[in-house]
Amino acid sequence: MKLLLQIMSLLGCFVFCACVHAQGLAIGVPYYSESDTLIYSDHPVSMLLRSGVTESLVSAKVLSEGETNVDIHNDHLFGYSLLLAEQVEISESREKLFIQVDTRAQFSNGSRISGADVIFSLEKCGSNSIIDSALKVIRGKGVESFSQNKNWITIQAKSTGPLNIPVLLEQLAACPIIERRSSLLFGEELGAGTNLVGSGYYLLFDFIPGKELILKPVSSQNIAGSKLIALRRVRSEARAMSALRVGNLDAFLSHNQWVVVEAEKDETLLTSKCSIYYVVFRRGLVFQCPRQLDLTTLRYSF
Amino acid sequence: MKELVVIFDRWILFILAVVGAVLSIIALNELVALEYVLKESSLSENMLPDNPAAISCELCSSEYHQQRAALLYKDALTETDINAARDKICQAIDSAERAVHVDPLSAGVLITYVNYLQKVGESCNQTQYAAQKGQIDLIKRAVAAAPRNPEVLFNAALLYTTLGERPSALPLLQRFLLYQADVSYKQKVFISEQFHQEQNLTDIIPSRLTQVLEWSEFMAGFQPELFYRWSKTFEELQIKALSEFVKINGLSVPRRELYIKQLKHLMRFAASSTVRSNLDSILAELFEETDKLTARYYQLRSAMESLVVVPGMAVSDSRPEKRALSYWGVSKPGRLHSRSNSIGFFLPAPQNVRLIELRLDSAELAAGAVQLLTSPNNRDWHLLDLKAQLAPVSEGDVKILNFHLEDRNDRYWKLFFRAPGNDRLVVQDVRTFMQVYGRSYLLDQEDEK
Repeated sequence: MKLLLQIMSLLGCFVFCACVHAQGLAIGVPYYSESDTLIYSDHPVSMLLRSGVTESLVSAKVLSEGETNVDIHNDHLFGYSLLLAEQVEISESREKLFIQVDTRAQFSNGSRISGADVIFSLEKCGSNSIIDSALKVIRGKGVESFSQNKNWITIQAKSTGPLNIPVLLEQLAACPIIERRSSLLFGEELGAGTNLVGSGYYLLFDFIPGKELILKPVSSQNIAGSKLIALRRVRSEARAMSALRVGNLDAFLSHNQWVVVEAEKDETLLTSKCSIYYVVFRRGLVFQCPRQLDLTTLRYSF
Repeated sequence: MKELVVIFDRWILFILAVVGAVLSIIALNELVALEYVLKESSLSENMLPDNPAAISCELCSSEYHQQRAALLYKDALTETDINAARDKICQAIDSAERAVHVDPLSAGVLITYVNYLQKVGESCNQTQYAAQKGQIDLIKRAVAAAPRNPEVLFNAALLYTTLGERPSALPLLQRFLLYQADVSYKQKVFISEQFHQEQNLTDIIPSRLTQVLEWSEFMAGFQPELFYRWSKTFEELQIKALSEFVKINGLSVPRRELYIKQLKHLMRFAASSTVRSNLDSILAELFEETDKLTARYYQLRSAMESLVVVPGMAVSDSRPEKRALSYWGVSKPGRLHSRSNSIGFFLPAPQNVRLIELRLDSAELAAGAVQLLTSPNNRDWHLLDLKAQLAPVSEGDVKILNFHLEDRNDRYWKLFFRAPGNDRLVVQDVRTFMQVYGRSYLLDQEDEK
């Protein structure tokens, strides 16, 4: 009888997941207030937005064999690959880091990324006090200033000593590059609802206040996964587990280890660790998490 | 005695014979030279004269020497032997210098000579003009000889910049722009390269409507980033040009249609809301006699500011009362109709909307087919009453639908196109298609640019 229930459960999951796959995926995140600073916090939704909607200068993404945007000669990049940066150079004294912005890259609205956008974004990362621990204050310890000459950005060390390159690269990988013009105009409403312009695979397409944000691929090309991704707020871990069991959610991210213990009781669910979060997800769902969850790899394997 | 006389006569005869022979040779040479003079119009690649008489031809014109210099220079470029090439180049310079001697007041000859001197550097420094000072003197002489010849002015400016004398080139470029009716693309690119700093715009661009319009358009397309960054100076230039325009032409001018066309064209590249407002006032006066409705429209608009908004779009907007705007900053929203996309904008505080314009270049759109919705949060939309609309205004082929409102400061605005017949309404550039006017309290709009 138990075996029969398990088979039915798996079959149900298969049918449901195939159905969900056609329409989109839903990822649960712990509840947050509308007034929270979305992209600069350590809330799971912040990581998902930075991963899907925005990109950074360098990436911690693990690249598969044959991918060419890793500069193998850049051993000074400590394993980071170039994303919105075309080149990264370090001065001999290690007091300056020079970054050439890839101006061929575009934001979701089609405008090209400029040095001014990058400087604005770095300043923004540096000025937010409620910020992901990986971002911290970029212009804090060690960094004196940023400057821009056309498409080249210079990060200058403080007089106290050279730059800590690995830490700086980690900060740069976590700092989302956003469009300066629209961000300035959104002002305090930057990040509210759909008010965010990045260069990621997804754009913030729609939202239901207090409930969910909906991401849509900017272009259907290069997207292995679903068409739409809903980031759904869940009021408690217990409700999230129920939603996962009935199929209303495909994955749930939490700081709370309790979800892992609960998920192990259900054979339709699997668990994983991604960055500082525990991920509970339906069997069959695959994704990669090189330091942060890569939304572009999120899909069902069947 | 007789013998002495005979000997003397023979000597005389001999001397005369020698003198005659020498004179004959000179005469022959001059004949050869004269032949070149006669044939100089047919001097071609295959007829490069190597006769010494032709080289030092005193009777030849400056054009002849210039042509010879050109042929020698061209030959030198294809010469494989370096020494021979250098030799030909030096001969070319020599020939160009001879042209200067023949025609010392010809600006073209002087400019050509300096051009040769610059091309070959100091490889033939036998001439007194090889040094930089000599070249500058020649350029000054050329400009003084033809102070209103655009070709000379442009070439002189070009040579000054090569000599590292950029400050002397800038006023010449300004004069060139004043006198040259049709500036080529290459010339425009060279001139735009001389805009090292914002101040150079006023140094070079004359404050005349035609030139200001031409350069606003060129810079907005060629270097849009600079155009926006230096919008303050473009604004100064445009306002000054407009004021000069009114002062010189007045407003009851016979060529009214042409001026209206020019002013409307400048409207597309207005560097600021103030410029646009000035243009509106002038257009209102120009239309006053012939088209009261249009005059009133421009008059109303002249009292408003162009508002800074973030355009957005709602894709597949089947529920306009619920669907949020996204795609912020989108420039090409594509097709707009009831089953497809809506467009709208986010209004940054603190600004109030008084007028929304939709500019239709080809497609027909009835004003009643457009619904205007506003929202405080981009989610809960409310339909607005649009009874305050004026009749559409035309600007050439462009029909302007306009929606007047009573000072509203809602944050999110959406235009929903409900008529099923709007399938052909394809928007290529949302910033051209949709314009928003009203009252702005933004202290520093430049930063937003």
